[in-house]
Amino acid sequence: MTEKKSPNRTRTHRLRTHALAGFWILQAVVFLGRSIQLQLLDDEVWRERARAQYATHVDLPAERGAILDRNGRSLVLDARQFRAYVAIREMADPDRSIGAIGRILGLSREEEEKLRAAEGGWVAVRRKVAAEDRNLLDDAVRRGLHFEPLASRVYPEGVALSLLGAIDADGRGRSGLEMALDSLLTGETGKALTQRDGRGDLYRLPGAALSPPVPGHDVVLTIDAELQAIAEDALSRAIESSGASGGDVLIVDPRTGDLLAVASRRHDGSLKVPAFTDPFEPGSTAKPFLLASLLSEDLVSLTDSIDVMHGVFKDGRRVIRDVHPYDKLTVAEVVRYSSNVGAALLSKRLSYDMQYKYLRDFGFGLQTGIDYPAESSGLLRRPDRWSGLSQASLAMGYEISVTSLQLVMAYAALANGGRLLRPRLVKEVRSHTGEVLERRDPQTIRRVIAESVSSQITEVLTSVVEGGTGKRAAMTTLTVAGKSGTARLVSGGGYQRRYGSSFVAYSPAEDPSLVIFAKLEDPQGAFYGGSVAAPVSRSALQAALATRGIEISRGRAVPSSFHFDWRQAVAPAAAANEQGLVEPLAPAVEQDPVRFAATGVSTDVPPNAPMDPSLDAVRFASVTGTARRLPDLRGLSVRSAAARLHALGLQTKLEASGRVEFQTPAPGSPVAVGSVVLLR
Amino acid sequence: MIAAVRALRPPGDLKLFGLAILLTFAGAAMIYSAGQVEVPSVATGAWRRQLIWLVLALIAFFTVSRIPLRWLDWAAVWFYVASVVLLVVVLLFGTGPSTRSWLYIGPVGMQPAELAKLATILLLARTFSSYRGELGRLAQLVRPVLIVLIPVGLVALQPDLGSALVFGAILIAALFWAGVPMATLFMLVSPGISLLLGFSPVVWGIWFLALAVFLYLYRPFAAEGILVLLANVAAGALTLPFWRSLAPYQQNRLVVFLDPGVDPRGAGWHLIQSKVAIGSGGWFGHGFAAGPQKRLAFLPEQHTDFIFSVIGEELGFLGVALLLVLLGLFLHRVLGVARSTEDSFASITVFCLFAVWFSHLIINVGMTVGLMPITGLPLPFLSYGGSFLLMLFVGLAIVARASAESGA
Repeated sequence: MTEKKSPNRTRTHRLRTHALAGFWILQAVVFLGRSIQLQLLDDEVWRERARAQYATHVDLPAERGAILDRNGRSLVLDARQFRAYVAIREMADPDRSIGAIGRILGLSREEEEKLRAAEGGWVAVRRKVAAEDRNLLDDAVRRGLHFEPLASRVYPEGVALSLLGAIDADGRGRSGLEMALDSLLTGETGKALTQRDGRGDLYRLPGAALSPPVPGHDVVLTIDAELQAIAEDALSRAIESSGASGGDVLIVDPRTGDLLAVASRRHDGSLKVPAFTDPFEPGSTAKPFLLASLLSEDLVSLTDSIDVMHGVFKDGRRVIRDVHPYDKLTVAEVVRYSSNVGAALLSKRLSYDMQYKYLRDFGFGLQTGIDYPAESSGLLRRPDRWSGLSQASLAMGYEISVTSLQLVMAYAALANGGRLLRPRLVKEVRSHTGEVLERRDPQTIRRVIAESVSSQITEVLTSVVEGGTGKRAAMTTLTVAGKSGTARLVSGGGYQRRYGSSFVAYSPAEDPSLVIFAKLEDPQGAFYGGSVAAPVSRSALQAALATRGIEISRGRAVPSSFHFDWRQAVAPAAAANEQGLVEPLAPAVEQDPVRFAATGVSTDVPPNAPMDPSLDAVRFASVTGTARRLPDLRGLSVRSAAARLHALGLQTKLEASGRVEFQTPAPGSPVAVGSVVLLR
Repeated sequence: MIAAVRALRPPGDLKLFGLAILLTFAGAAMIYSAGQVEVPSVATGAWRRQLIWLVLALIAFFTVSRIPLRWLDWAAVWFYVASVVLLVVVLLFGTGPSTRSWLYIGPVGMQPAELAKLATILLLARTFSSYRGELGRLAQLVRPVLIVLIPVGLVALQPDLGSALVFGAILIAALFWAGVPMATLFMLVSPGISLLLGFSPVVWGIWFLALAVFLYLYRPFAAEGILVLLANVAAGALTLPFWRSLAPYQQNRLVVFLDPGVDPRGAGWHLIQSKVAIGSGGWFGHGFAAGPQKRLAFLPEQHTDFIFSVIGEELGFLGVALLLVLLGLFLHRVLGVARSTEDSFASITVFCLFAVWFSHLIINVGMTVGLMPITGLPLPFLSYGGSFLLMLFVGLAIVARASAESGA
């Protein structure tokens, strides 16, 4: 069947083998040449191209800075959290990966089993994942674990939420201080070397951070968390009891311009601070500024007597009335009894320009320069646009709109001897290591009135509280200067039968260390400043004085030097000018629970030492003082530790983020409510 | 005992067998490496299956190498018929990712095209070895061409372009080794060249003129000359319809070979990634199992068609050169057997096997370094593939048998 090769064919094979060898050599040369070209000549090019394909960076989010109160208590902290999803099919080694997840997150065996059993898709892990756990997970599980960021700010004190504002999904400030201070709070995003695979999935390489993220700065506010809580509490109670639609309570240190508390609410409940942004007509609270300009220009003295025309003054086409008519009042009494006729008449003694100048100098119609977005400048028209009625209107606090902030700062100027200060909200900026980067000192904008004028006005305003319209603000032990105001609210272009009731007080009158402004919008029933807003100021003031940490000049707090007995209805007629309706004086405060001696001592107690529980009796609000034992917080995340302390009525001082490794006082120590616990 | 050992001694060229085993183990090692990836991959664990297949392949080797070549010569027709039937069957029942090229019997899959290659080789060898005298006339070549065209047509229907090319290589190899005059071979191949050049009428026209001049000088039979010219005209005219009949992915593969940038995320992806992997290997490579392109799943088909890219990335130029030398040595020994074998059937068969493996080498390596279009042909011994390895060792058994028979 088969045939043996002929010699001929053998020759053919020899020749053809040579031809084949030529082809073969050609092929070898081409392939080896190509390999040399790719691997030895162009290798850098290809290696670079490979790197470009798989080497990439991911951003490592930086921790956002905290906002602290003036005493270092955290108002808002960064707590970046994530929800984790497991995609088992993407995992190279599901058993090992799930085991690592369970170990890091502390999952139970059943939870792990549930993750293992999930066949397709993404399965959410039930625990929320903290940022540091996420880093561990990233290193341990390289594929098949996906994260979704969750809300990342926590509020250990639960106060000043609207002031602090909110952040958006990208972690940038969206409103309030978060927005105003965004550049300070935002840290520097870090970079980590990451690999991308052929499917486009990314994963971190362990320990390959190119540049670690730098946490943002911490901002220390002038706000006092405790006063803030007091102010918010006072405001909520007042709103609740008066049926008001909203209101403001501001507490300012007139010596520095520090805002100690900013409580501000409107019925819409939006997360903003209307005290900075929504101007209103101040009404009678503006009368002291008229007095200040008259006294500064030496046009009147407090004892000058003027004819107030039985409470009816025809000013052009308009009739100005006092609810309770007098024949004659001294200049001081015009303010004390809040006589509209008196104020209108006195305003005529000023030139337009002079009246305008003083109002402008007190800061009306201008932004205060607070570190807060969208501050309103209010409205103060220039004299060339005034009508014949404007002088009297302005004297009574109409034809002008001011923000609560402007008003409280103007009163601070009255209180501190005549200097208008820039409201200070940010005290200092610290790096995340605690180093102070920037201190913002109090700023005087200008001197508005002489110190002598200031003290005269304080004298008058003290008499207001003592016997005038603001008596509900009187305190048993401290002298309080104050002025109430009621103005109809403007809406829809005209005045309505809705009222804004406000009261500004400062104390101690001799050397004021607090200015408290309270305003309620549209209170139901009694709508005059004296009856509605004054008690708010009073209770806030009381509580404020009861707290430690407020540098109040207690040396002057001589008990009962200006004692006002609430049960004696002194000068009801005077109050009626403001109030219109004389309401029976409710025993709002029968007895002052405030014992200054006790609170005075408490400032000397070291903050970390357990306090005598009896001292806490003076503390305001829901916090009632009983000694407790401090729980063991070690190992908890800072956030949950702070939350637990807060629930116990304790304060937190943080010196670290992440987990608590050290606490003082030690676990089990007896602590009093309000004590500060240091977490590290 | 000694008899048993002697029974297990592979027949024929021992160095040939040793090289084959060495290459297969090197391949299994690289297949293991190909499975070391960050992303779940079918390649993980393939090395174990490859070794199991090696056991089967060795059993097949020892079995087939005990069959006298005369029996194969005798059975060639039936073997061929059976494989053609299988090719028809695979067209009807076959499965595969993009081509209907796999038949499954239970869990074991095989590609009938692999079987058909061997059967075609045997039948071609039988045909040529039965010719006497000179092979000068085209008419004598009708039968061999038909023998090849039937499986080529069936394989092209799958469509498996790579295998179709290998069948072409088998035909040319058989003609070449059977002593068909180069001019006749040229006339036979010329329509294929026309098919390639048909894209450009100008280039084709020049080619056609050159062909006419050659025919005038060479002076074959008039009928032959006319036939060749007609075939060239037909092929040139068929180029574009043929091109359009190709599946888009096949067209793409051919286009991206010319310019991978045309579709870097699609058809050009394989080619670019392969070049990146090989190129970034440099002199010494990234080290065994450590190539990032492969680990990060940029390299596709890393354990089958693109195993050479893994070698290039991880073992560098030295690994590539060593591998090419080993494969060259192996092929050289196969060629040696083809030359030294007295038996015509055996000689042609061995030479055709040589041509199949050589063309696999050229097409596969050429593809991974961007010198050839992507056709999906495995690299002998190195690529993962059970039935391919099995057929490789069956072929090797025939070579060993031929070597043994000629040495005996």
